[in-house]
Amino acid sequence: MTAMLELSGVSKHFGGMKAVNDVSFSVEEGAIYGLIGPNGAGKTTVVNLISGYLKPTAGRITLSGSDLAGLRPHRLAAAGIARTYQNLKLFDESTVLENVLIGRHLSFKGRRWQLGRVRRREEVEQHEVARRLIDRVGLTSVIDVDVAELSYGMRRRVEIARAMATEPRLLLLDEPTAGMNRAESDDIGRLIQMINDEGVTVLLVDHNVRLVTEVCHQVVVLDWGSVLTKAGPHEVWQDERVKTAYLGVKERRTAETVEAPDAGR
Amino acid sequence: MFEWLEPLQLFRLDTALILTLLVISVHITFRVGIMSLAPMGFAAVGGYTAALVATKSELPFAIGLLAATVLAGLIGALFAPPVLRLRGIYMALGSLALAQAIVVLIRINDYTNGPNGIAGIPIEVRTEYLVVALLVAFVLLELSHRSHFGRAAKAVRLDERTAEGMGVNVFRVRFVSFTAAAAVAGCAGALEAHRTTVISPDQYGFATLVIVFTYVLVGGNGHWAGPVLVTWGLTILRDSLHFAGSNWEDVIYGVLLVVILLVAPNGLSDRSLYRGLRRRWRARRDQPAPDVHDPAEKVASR
Repeated sequence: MTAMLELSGVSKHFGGMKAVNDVSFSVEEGAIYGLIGPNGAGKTTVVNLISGYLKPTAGRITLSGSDLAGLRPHRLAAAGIARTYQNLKLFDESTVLENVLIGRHLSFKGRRWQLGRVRRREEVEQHEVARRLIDRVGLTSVIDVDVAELSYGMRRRVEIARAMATEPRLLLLDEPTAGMNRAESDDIGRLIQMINDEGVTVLLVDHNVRLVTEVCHQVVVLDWGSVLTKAGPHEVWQDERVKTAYLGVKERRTAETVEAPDAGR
Repeated sequence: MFEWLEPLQLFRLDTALILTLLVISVHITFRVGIMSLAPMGFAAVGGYTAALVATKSELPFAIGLLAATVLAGLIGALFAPPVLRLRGIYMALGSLALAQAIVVLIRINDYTNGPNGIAGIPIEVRTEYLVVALLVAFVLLELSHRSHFGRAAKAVRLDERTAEGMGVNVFRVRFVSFTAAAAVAGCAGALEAHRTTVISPDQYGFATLVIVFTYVLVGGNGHWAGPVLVTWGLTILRDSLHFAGSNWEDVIYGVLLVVILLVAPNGLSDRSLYRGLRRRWRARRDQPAPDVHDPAEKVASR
């Protein structure tokens, strides 16, 4: 197994606030990695750094060996990094199909001067791809509905389909099950595994202990902007430091009762 | 083709058609979320280019029109990088400053005959030309609206950061739009010059811009047809309101605008306005089969 994504000594400081401080970890190709940590640990900042929304103050981020420093998000999307957002960022005034088609933007090869049949054929092909993706996340019945009208869980699925439409090698999922019930998050878990089975490497940020334990191959724990530990999905919860970070020092009794994987919400 | 119209009506029709071109220019920028106050500057470039070509050379009208469009587009491309770095109200002010700089340059320059403007521009514009120009513009707009560029433009307007994350080159989409809008405004300026025969720097001020902005905002960003139809509708309305006398005309017009913007705060072509309609249409399409529960219930109720 080779490292696909590699962060070495990555820091991001906002003024005096060290949101991410000297973080190093790598994600193996074809694996599902979990990135967990208490609120404010810097998880989303790490995702924003990898996807180019923020520039690191220090450190290097490489994808399959090539440096990503200073690349704009659209270049990173072209390089094969797709993401979803913690607070859903869908195009509300567009239909499900249109949202997913935006993800296909990079795949349009037609030149500006090629009008008529070439363009139309390409358009039909891209619609076909988008329809397949929408079918896979189970939203075919609402394909022509504005996403503003959809339920929260459905909107999450649209976002995943849209990210998949860019044909990523690395998919960053920022809390895809936030605010979901158990059945819904289990569905998302199956979806993530299905995506991974197709060869997409996944970095999953989530609080959901159950999901992370069942789906991830390896877990990186962040606390106060630094890597606390890296471990397997079952071992990680045995780590005293992880328990302390999540549940606080004084809540030792509670901490001891926490046992993965039943400890989810 | 339009000979049956009275001269005054014909004049108004031409005015409205050229105004429609300016509306299209502004719509092209609004479509990608650019708040640009520069179109009158580009119209000035177009108008003066065409006027100078016509009065100082023997070249035909078509060459002047082409030169006006291309030059306005080039200046637009030059202005785009600094303007597109700005956001919101700063973008509006920045673009206005650059555009007014053009007008000031024209006013203090002897070659453009300073504040007196240029007279004696030959009348070359016929209503037929304007109609053809607009039809071409409509076809291009609709093609772009349906293409992936159109989708990207909409995405950039709704949320440029997210669009970027999906691989859309936000700067390129905006650059192309800004430049195209400048070229269209330049074309409109040239046509206007060849219609009125006289141009002066003062006509490229705020008055026209405010009217154009009103039409574009009332029309909305959803589809180009919104601003275009609003332009025509309100022009016809304004002209027919002449019966009411000038004071009442403005009052009725103003009240109507307020009412429209209360009903449709994002303009008349805003998608969310028609969500209910579309839902009903979808329901009818998706359930063509007769309701199965209905007969059963009837039986049960007996």
